[in-house]
This record gives sequence, structure tokens and C-alpha cells, in this order.
Amino acid sequence: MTTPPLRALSNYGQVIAALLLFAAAALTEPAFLTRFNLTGIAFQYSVIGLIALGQLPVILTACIDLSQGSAIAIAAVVLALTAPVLGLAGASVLAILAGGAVGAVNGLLVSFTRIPAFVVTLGTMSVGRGLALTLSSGQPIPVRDPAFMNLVRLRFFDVPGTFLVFLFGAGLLALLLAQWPVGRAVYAVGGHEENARLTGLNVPKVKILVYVLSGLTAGLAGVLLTSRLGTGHPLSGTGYELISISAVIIGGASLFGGIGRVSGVVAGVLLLGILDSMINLSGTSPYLQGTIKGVVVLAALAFSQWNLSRAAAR
Amino acid sequence: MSQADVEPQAVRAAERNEKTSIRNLTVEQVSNLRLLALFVAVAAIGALLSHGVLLRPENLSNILQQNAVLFVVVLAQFLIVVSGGFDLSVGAVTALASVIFVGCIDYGLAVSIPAALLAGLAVGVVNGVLVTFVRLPSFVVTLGTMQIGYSVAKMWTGGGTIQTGFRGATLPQPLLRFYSVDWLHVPLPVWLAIGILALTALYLRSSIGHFLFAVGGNARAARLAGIPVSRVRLTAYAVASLIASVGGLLFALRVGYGDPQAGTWLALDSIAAVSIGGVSLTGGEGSILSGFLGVLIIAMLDNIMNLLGVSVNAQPIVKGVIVIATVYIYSRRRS
Repeated sequence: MTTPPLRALSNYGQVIAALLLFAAAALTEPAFLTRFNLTGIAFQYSVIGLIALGQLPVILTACIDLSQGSAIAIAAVVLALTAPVLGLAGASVLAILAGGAVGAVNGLLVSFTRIPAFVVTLGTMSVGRGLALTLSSGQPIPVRDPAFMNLVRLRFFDVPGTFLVFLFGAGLLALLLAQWPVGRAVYAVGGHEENARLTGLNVPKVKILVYVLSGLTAGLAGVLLTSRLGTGHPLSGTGYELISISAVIIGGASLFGGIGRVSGVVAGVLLLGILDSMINLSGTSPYLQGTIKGVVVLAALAFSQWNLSRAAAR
Repeated sequence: MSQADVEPQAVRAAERNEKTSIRNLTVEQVSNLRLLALFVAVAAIGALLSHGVLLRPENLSNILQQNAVLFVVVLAQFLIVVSGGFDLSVGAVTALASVIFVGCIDYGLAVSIPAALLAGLAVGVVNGVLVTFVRLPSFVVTLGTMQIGYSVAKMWTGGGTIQTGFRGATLPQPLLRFYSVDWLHVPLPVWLAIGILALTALYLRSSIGHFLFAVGGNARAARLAGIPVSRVRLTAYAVASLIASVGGLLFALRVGYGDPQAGTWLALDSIAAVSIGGVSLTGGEGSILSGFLGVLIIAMLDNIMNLLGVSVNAQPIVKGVIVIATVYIYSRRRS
């Protein structure tokens, strides 16, 4: 038996690490706690955070979603193309739904064929990027509406709105995973798919739902990025799927499914954001980032592995 | 541990395996035939659509030459997929090797080539140790080393490409003609790829390499049969990254510089090629030639689309559909 404080340390290790890193950054970098710096991190990592929240349930079912970056691009392009016709509100809804459609295709293919999730989403990643490029003829499409561009710059009590959206999304997801029957089923499917099926759970339904959710979060991320840049860019979101997977892994989720919590993912996203900002402010080579992030991912993974093997030994 | 240390029972088990594998071989031959049929079909349809341009010798030679790097890298990916994992770091190793190869060129080729290969080997050993001894999933381990590899390459060059070594030397002129010389009507880089293919095939027949299929198929059973699973896996990761760094040398010879952004798509393209080649992504199955054929099919598709004037923007759509469709067909066959 471990003592309660120790257990909290292993359950919320990522949260504690994020808080410690935040304190370290605030103490060592005078520019860290400025409004300008915090706003910058808050926006960029809210977008990444949203898709990480979408990635978590997928990974909890022992699947993976590599198509998030392409779904972001599709949403961005759909938004920019349809805005003149549908108006910005309608176009934004359509863009989010377009992201959800990518997720639905993933979910259907993963549930009803024997193609591994990795290959399905690798394929839709390629198809999605191709669609975004074709729809836009490879060119960024401007969305020059001041009201729309101000959307991401909204603040509530000086906190960037996008960050509040991310936190609200995290709270909602935590509630759904803990209380909603389908949320519990996500853990069951990831823990042991065959057992979940035998207890009467509708496994295809769960998988389709998690993929649609992942696509919807990517769609929302695409809308936010478009609002920030003022253009729908067919190359936006390139490589974001790997950052969101990293955040989920740093957050302590297992790629084999069934293990992972929302608080860990939020901490994982914040850890990446604070690290990013610290490297930028410290004035070292910006290219050092990749090394540090890579080492953090591997260290976090080794930590959760050690945690799991300890839990198994108990 | 040497061959002699393996217990007699295990040897007998291995022999039994060898006998039953005759039956597997026929299954494998059938799947190779299907792959060959797919290959012939793509070639025939492509030849028809392009009015024969696809199969003109100079066009074929172009296809091979343009994809020499992928031909080499797919061999690396093949080893890891057979061992039951994925290697996302192959592209980063290619980039890093190309940068180090050019960056050390003023010490002469006798230094810069080994330096580039050693860097690749180092990444492979890190991958192997983390996967084998710390038991982390290969997908995330190689995701981490991929980021590290790209970042080290970028720090070396300051972000851009690198044309010269520390003291301003460039790649020697004769080497830059490597890509434009043919031998027996086949470009030299393709011969190099074939050479690496032969070496990889030899590795798969070596005392440690030939256990790779058993380890990838069922690691637990392999361990119980006395196979040194950890050593087999670790070696596979080291060899794979070594092969990928040869891809980096080829890349530098093709363009004449080192590029920290080289091979961004290599990881996914090589996984796509391996899956089109019918190599089981759950490990333990597949033939090395099928990976090669997989690249050839992808390369021909690219070429056909270019010949037909399909927009560059639409090409990823076709590629993605082909990957999903072929893996779907293979998965139905297995069930």
C-alpha cells in the first residue's frame, strides 16, 4: 500500500509537473508572466488542447487518429469557401461538421472493416489534405471580416476566450467520460474489446462516436485558426496530430487503451506550452525545441510505464 | 548467447517451425502472386492511359531513380514492421544523415560517410533500447526520436539546408554525378538500393536476423522457444536506422546538399508502401521483395498521375484511397 500523498503524486504527477514548471518559468523568466506572452501561449495551445481532448477518447479505445491535422485544413478551407454564401456563422458550423464528417469516415472504416486504425487514419490524412488542397486550388483563401477575426481575440476578465473554450471542453469531456454511459463504455472498449462486446456494449457505436468527436474538435480548431490568421489555409494543421498524440501520452494515457484521464491531458498540453514559451524566451536556438519535446515525451512515457508496472505489482 | 546455448528443445521447436513454414510459404507465394497481379494491373492500366509512355525505358529509369531514397528507407521500415512495430523516425534519420554527411565533408569521405551512418545507428540503438528494455510502444518512442533527430539536424544547420562542411568544402564533383550515371541501363542509385536490399536479405538469413519473423509473430512464444528476443529486436532497430541513414546519403547525393527537412513524408510513405506490399502491420509476416514492389506501385501511380496531368493537389487523395483499399483487400483475405 502506498500512502495517499504518494498515490496523488502518481495519479496527478503530470498536473504537479505542469504547476512546478509554471512556477519555475515565472521565477526564472521575467518576460514569462507578461500578458503578451501568456496570451500567445494560451491561443496556440488552446487549439492544440482542443484536438488533444478529441484524441484522448480515441486513444482510450486503443485506436489512434492521424487525420486530425487534415481535418483542421478541411474545416479551414470549407469555412473560407462557404463564408460568402452562408455567412460566417453558418460557414463555421458547416466547417465544424466537415471535421466531424472526416471523423465519421474514420469511425465507420475502423468499426466495420479489419483495417488497423493507424492505416485508416493515415489514409484519410492523405485524402483529407488532398481534398483541402483541391478545394482551395492549393491557395490560402482570405476571410476578411473584422468581426470574425476578432472572435479569437475576445477576452473574459482578461482571459483569452479560446483558453476558456479549451477549459470548458476539458470539463465537459471529464464529465462525459465519468458520468455518461457511453463515456464509461469508452474505457471498457479500450480495456478489453472482446469483454466489452460480450457484456453487450455496442463497440462500433463507441468507436464511431469517439472518432466523430475527434473530427469535431479538429473542425473547431480549424475555425479558430482561420479566425486567427484571417485566411483558410489548405496546409494549416500540418503535423498537429503528432503534437496532440504527444500531449495525450505526456498526460499519462496508454496507447494500448483503457488508461488515461482528462486532467493529465490538460497538464500535458500546458507542459508543452510552457516548455515552448521557456525555450523561446531563453533565447537559445528555437530548433532545440524538438529535442526537448522529444525527451519530455519519452521521459513521460517511461514515467507512466514505471507507474503502471508498479500498479500491476501491487 | 550463441547458437550453442539455445536448448535442444528449442532447436527442435525451431525445426518443427521450419517444417510447418513450408505450408506458410505457399500461402506467402499466393499473396506474392496477388501483389504481382496488382503490380502488373497498375503497369498495364498506366501504360494504356499514358499511351505507352509509362513503360518506356527512360521513363522507368526515371521512376526508379526518383524513388531510390524511398526504396532504401522502405527496407528499414520493413524490418521494424515485421518485428511488430512502427518506425516514425526513418525520415528524421535520413535528414540527420544527409546533414552530417555534408557537414563533415571537409574531413573527407572516409570520415563523413561513417559519421552519417553512426548518427543513424545511434538513433536506432536509442529506439531499440527504449522499445526492448524499457518496453515502451515503438510508435511513441520513434515519435520522440523523430522530433529529436529533426531538431538536432536543424540546430546543426541553423534551420536551412547545408551546402558545405565546417571549412567550406562541398561534396566532390564526381559524387554529384552519381545520380546521372547508368550501369546496364539502370541508374547507380538504384544499384545501391538493390545492394542494400541484398544486404538486408542477408541480415534476415543471419543467425540473429532470421528470428525476426518469430519475434514479430509472437514474442512470448519466441521467448519460450529460447530465442533471444531482446537481442533480435535491438539489432533490428539498429540495422533499420543504419539503412535509413544510407537513404540520407543518397538524398544528399541527389540534391547536392544536406537538408534537415528531408524525408518529412518518408515515415508515412514507407509505411504505406509496406502495407500496399501486403506486409502484415501486426508483425511476423511479409517478404522483403513485397516492400520493394509496394514502393514501385506507389512510384508508378505518382508517375501515371503526372503523365495524365492530375493536379498535384489531388494526388494525395488517390494515394490515400489506394492505401486504404489495398489494406482492406488484404485484411479480407486473411479473415
